Amino acid sequence: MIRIALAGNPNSGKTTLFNILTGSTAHVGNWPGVTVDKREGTYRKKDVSAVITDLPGIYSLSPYTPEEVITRNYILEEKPDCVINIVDATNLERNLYLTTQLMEIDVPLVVALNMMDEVKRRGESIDADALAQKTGVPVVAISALKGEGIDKLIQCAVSQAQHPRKGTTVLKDGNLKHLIGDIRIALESLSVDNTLFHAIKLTELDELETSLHPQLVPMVEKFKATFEDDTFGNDFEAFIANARYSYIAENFARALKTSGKQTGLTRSDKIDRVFTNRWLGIPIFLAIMFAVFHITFSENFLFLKAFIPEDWESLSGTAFSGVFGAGAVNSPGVILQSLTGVFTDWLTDTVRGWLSTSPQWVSGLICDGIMAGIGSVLSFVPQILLLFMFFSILEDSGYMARVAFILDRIFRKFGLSGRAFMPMIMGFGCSIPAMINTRTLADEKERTATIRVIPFFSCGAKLPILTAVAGAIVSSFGVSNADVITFAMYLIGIVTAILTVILMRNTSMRGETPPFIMELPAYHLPQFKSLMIHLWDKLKHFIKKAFTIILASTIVVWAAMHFSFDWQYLTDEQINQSILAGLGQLTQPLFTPMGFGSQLGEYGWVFAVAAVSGLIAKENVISTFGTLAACLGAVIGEDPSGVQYVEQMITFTGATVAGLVAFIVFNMTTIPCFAAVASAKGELRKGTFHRTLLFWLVTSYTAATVVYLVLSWWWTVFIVAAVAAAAVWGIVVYNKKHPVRSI
Amino acid sequence: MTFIEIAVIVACVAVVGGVIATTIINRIKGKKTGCCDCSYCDNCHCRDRQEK
Repeated sequence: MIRIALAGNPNSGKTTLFNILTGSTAHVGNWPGVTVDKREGTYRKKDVSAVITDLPGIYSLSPYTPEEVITRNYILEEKPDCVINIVDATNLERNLYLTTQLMEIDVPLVVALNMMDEVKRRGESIDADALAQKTGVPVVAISALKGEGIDKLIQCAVSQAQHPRKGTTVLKDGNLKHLIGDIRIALESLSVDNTLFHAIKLTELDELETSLHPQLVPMVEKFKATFEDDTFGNDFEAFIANARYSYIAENFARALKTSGKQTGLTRSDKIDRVFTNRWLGIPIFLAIMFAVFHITFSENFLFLKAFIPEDWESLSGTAFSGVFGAGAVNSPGVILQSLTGVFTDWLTDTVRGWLSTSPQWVSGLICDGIMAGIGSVLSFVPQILLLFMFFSILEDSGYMARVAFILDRIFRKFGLSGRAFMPMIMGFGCSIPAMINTRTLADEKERTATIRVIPFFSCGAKLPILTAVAGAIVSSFGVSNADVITFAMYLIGIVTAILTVILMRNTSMRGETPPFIMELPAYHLPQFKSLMIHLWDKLKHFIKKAFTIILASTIVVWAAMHFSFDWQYLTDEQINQSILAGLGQLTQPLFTPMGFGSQLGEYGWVFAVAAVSGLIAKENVISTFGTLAACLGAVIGEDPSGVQYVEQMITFTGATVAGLVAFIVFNMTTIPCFAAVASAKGELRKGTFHRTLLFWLVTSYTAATVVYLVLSWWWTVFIVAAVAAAAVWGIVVYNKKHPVRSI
Repeated sequence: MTFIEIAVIVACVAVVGGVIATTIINRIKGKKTGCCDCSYCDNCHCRDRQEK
């Protein structure tokens, strides 16, 4: 089976092509740096079968970041049978820079001119044959998004794979050719492959290359010293880059024919004049995010409460009573969640009916344990999917790349570049891929700081905690709207991230902020298929988790709640003597400073149990509440259902608004789930990882305690401010005495 | 014990045991976290990483 590698600039459409060729559903996004590791798939059609490798996007073969090294090493060391170089045809000149470097490697090469549909839409055309003639490698015009030209491309790649190819270069300068020739002779004597490529990289004094052949460095230095003054100037690498671009402009770029109709500004440029405006950019971003949260979480949709009678209830007297609102109109997200709640309640009642003749503990375990636990989590799935649908639309349209650009100005002041924003935004989905995506950050300190704050960007699993507790605050205390609280909690996560980054970049991780250069992709309408893939991934992830780790956890929680330490079965009324209650009461004092510890009532230990169970998977917090509430429902003589399980459980313990908000803050900022912790361990050095665990614990404890104190006793804000000011003063004084050494 | 009681106990033990066993097997195989199916990275964080 032949092996074909896909290489090209970031955001040139490699993963879209990979998905078409292999039938995969790998994540694609309209911003540079989505793929940070190589992935493989199989192409099978008629009599052709090939292993396709999707490589992280690179601008040149002189890598700076970890994922760029992966691409270079794969092509040079794994020696694929053919490389397909995906070129963004709308940015021909810049993309061909990488092509000139790939041409220098002894590997069969095919250039795929992607996004040709966009080129045509602009009224332009590219003469693929003329480009093929100039480059000496086959050129095929395609549109990966629309699936055009794919068969021709793969046929061409298969045919090229049969013929070995020797590298060629566009560096035609006489002196340079002389230098490269001499280095090639030296490399050949060392039996090195790809001598042309390695020789050129050595002339550039590429870091990776000089570490491989240090014995040849003096030779290059000597040549450079000879020619530096009169021929190459002071910056040798810049001279070579310039030589490449000049050649591209004079030869290759002529294949591009413009219509001459262009007015200067593209559609994307016009939109960007508003969206990336210095003053309007951030307010527009906040307004968009608030609209998203309002549609997903609001129980006062479009703020219509003032115009609706207080006693109005939709579908009153039916099983769907209140689904569309009561006293106000529910947002689409809340309607979907209510409908799921109606379904899970019906299912639980039906199963309870089937089990009416079975022993009480069987009915209790299945209905109050498993179904209440899993049901309380699954009822939030529609809202989570709706939220991620909006996030996917914003990402695919290219808007999120603009947000990184807008936020770079602010992030830079705190010691991070705008590039760090992309992994953070991914953190809203799941911390694991977000931590892996930090490989696009070249600076080690910036990378560590970003990994540490990623869990503060509330992931999908934390959403049920936010929604349920916010709902409980609204229904029990009549405070504000649920969507406002949820939105505010997201903002608190972001503010905590910013504050801790400032702290880290001024203490343990001092250093210069690396420059941020990012290509803004053109806006385009999100693809329906891509959107569905995102949502399916999310749904699959939740269902899989619900029926494995959450199911197992609910069984363990129910069992620990119905057995005493001397292994006696306990009824619902006796659960205060259970193993779970014992363990909860033991850990309860630890949470007292945060407002959900010893100060709570008889069943207050449930908060301690829920917080600890969340360390396995964050969904466990709400599934634990669901299981506990279902059992306690019998004790308190009420029959709650759906989300009310959680709300009644929370209010039943006597928790205050301050304690509940602190509970959310603690869960949002503490050590993330097991999988995310393991991911951080894989991405960080050992010592740094241990300090990161401590960092999460201390941050969550401090943030939740501060929130509890300030919300409970407003005057404590002055004490907090004084302590913060003293800490800032101490840091400033220390940093003045110990200035950071320049990178 | 009735049939349904035995069946429920066996099923619960299988689920809890299965989750614990899968975690242990993944660790032994070098799969450090188990795949989260997020599709951003296929199985890259399940792979035993050599470079840091």
